[in-house]
Amino acid sequence: MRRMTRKEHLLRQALLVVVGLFVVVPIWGIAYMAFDSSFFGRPSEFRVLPGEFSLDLFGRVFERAAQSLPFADLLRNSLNVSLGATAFSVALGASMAYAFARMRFPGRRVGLFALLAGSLMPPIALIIPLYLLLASLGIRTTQLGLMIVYAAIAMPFCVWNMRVAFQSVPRELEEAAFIDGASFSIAFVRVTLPLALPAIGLAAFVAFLGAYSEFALGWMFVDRADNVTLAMGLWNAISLAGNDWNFMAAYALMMSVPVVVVFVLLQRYLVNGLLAGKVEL
Amino acid sequence: MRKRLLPAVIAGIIAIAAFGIRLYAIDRLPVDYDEDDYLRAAQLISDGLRAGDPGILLRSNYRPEHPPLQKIAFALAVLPLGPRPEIADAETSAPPSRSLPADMVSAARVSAAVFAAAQTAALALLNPLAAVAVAVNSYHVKYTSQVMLESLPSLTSVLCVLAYLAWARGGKRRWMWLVLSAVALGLTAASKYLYCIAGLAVVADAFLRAVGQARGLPWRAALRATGRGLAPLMGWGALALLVFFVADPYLWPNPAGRLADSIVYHSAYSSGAEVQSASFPPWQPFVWLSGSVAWERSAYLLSLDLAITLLALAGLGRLWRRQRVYAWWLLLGLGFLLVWNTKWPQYILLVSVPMAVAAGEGLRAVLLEPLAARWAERTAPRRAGEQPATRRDLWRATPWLLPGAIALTALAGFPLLYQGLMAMTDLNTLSLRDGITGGVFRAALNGLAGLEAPSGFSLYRLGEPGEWRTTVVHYTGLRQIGDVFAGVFSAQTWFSLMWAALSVTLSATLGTGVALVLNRRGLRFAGVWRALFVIPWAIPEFLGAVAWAQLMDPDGGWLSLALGAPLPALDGALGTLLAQTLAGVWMGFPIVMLTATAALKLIPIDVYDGAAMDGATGAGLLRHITLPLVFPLLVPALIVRAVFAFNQFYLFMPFRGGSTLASLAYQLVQPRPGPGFGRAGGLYAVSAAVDLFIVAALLIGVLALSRRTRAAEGVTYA
Repeated sequence: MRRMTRKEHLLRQALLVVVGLFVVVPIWGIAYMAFDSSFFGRPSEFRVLPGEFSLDLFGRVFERAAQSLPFADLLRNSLNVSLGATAFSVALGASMAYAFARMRFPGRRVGLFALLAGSLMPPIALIIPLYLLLASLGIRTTQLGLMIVYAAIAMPFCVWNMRVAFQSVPRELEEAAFIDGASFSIAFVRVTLPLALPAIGLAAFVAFLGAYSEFALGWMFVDRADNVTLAMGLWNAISLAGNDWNFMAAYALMMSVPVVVVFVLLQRYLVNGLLAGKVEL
Repeated sequence: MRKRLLPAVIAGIIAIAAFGIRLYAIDRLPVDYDEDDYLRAAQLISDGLRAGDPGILLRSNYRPEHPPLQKIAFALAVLPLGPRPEIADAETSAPPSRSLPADMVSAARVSAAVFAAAQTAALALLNPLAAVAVAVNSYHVKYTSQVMLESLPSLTSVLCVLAYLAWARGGKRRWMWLVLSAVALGLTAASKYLYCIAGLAVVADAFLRAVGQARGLPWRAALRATGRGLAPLMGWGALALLVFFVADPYLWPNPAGRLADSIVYHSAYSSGAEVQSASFPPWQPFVWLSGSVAWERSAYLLSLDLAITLLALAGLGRLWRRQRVYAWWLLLGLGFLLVWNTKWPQYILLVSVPMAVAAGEGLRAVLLEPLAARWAERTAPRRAGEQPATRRDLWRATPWLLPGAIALTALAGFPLLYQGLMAMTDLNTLSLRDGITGGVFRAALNGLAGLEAPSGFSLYRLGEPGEWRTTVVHYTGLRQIGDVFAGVFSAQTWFSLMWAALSVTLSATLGTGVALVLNRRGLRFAGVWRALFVIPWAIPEFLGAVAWAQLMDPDGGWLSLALGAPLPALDGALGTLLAQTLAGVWMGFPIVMLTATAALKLIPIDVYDGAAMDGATGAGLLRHITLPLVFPLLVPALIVRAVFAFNQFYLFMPFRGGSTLASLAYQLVQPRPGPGFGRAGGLYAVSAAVDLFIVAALLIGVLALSRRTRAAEGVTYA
């Protein structure tokens, strides 16, 4: 390939700067407020930097984020619920996805069809059926209940994605293991699973994100303040409290920064899974 | 002879059915806006004719903004009835009149239905499927069963195109067909100007044909050939103008002045108060197209409009390849409807015929041909070596399937089933307690077993008190599922489609573009840029939406503060959609960028070397090598993004407006769903019907898309 000229390099960088602005501007439009204690309510004048730099707002969120609970409690609830839902979907779905990817059995086509139909349901369709299910188990208002709700949203897609991930691991690798006398379970654990791991990681990350940011269904199930998640608290801060913009900004920042950091750190690994497994998001 | 008989018989049957459907509607439709105007126009003319004064045609054209031909036709229809008291002269915006002579109304309406039946008959001779689609189209039924100016120009515009096609096919009597086409166009113009779009489609098609024939010739010869090809078109246009003038006697005394008046009126009207106060979004015609007429329900025997529109979407590609002139008609018509400010529902009749033709193509592509292929596959002998899966296979797979199957049955299967049952009841806030303690099962299963008759619950009367507003759940039958599938919520249906197409297309374009810009050896900071661009994807989407809503708020958002003034352009349906689209693209492009980056890495470098040796350069490489190799790898990701976009609702919550079907499903279960629902709340049953519709629509869409792309992607969807 021919080398880039200086002009071409500059042109490319200029295009990237434009896209970079597109990415950063809305984030900045919120983020600067989190450090600004010079106004209350809605900002009424244009600023790029905080008018009065302070970290007080983060302190406020830290001490009393929502429902008079400290941030740490909400974060713990969020992590419990989201990690639980993710683990539930991946663990229970993986073997099924593998069977759909590799085995032949009667009803396979119908099963795939049903799997697809399940993943097309809008989340709101789950309210009443899961309400019944969870109430009959006596866990409707608990974090375990919420975890199951979020798993229900995440699972069909998770299984679907993992199936595709397993399918794209070359069959020959498994067949080599079979020749050496391996069973399906050994081939799965030793060959397919490790190769599909980045793709599964990506599917899991998506499942996690979905649960971490869900609030609408959450509010329909949880009615005890100490089970509220971060996303639910933020929705409250926005919709009920209404006008405390810099508080909301600090909250939003504190909620999303950890996820972004984790993702950027794992990026290289997860992206490997993207086409290796053709995971879809 | 027999070869011609069958199509004629089929056309006759379709036309009779079309006429019957309209007669049924004529009996049941109340008098609508404008009917009094056109009936008065007809009355003035018929009174003059009855008094032996044909000169009335030169003097009288009530509502002169529309040319008189259809009004004259109505006049002839009411002529035998004899004189009636004069219909009052009222504003165009006046509410529907209650005192029109009933026999005049029905005579005029029946004459309109006759034109509509003739239209379906003519179309059916060449394209029976399309004719059926026109015959049952509920907007077509409505406006060709009322005293409106749609039926005659609909008929003549179809004749114009059909005759043009007969001419283009060649043969001995081809010139007769061209004359007929021109006459039909002239009559169209003399009935309602709008319908001349069909003539423009003919011009576009003929022009491109002429240019196409000249391709490859040296330019002088090409010019001459194009001229020869276009000469008949000139004659056609001139004849059409002449016929228009002859058929519009009102123009004779003062052609230029009266013509100018009638045309200028429309542009003034479209920016006037009456149109403004309706405040439809620019895409409103598409909303009309995404459902059946939602008022006067009992007047229509069938509501297949949404299905027809969806089939038409599926048939667009084939329409362009096989029936170019209809494709132009559709394109020009929809383009006009989109930009023209006046958005009355009757305007969509402009594209009824090309939509119907497209739907016919869609039906062949989606249903008829795959079924035929499946049948052929069934009857062919099974290939050797392929054995059906056995019970032993199942036995071996069971332990692998069981845990996931149990979880999915409980978490997805049960909800889906329960939605189906719920949608057959009237479950709402009042009956919630009964519903969740077994009422839904009781009502639905009793109803299905025939033990309980359907209650009077109706989606069209949600705002009114009704017998279903009790603490007990009732069975409602399949009616509300049917109504939702017929497109009662056409605004949200259209918004979901538009939103999915818009956000996915733009995310795909930006994501692929960025990946291409980054994909260059020696580019500095590529890793840093990539890490930055991925951030929006990791931010919870609701937060991203809040950030964009704050940035783009018309008054007091960051952008308007920066400019120091409110931004009214960001208000309203279009401005809100812009802000939402930016937010959607912002969240959606990173994953496409990552996927495209990975896909670009898979292209072996020697492909480029080979192409470079063949003399390919930048743009050519991109178009013929890179994109065709990358795109198939993106397709699965894009399909899944489209599903997510179609079901999107968190994103719309911080904005004022914009509602997908999924937002609707959420809204419906709120205690106060909002305007249009009166005091009814927690409409779980309706929400369930919407959910079923979403699942069905997406299932069909995903299957159709994956069938088309399966070969390329190597991933099977089902």
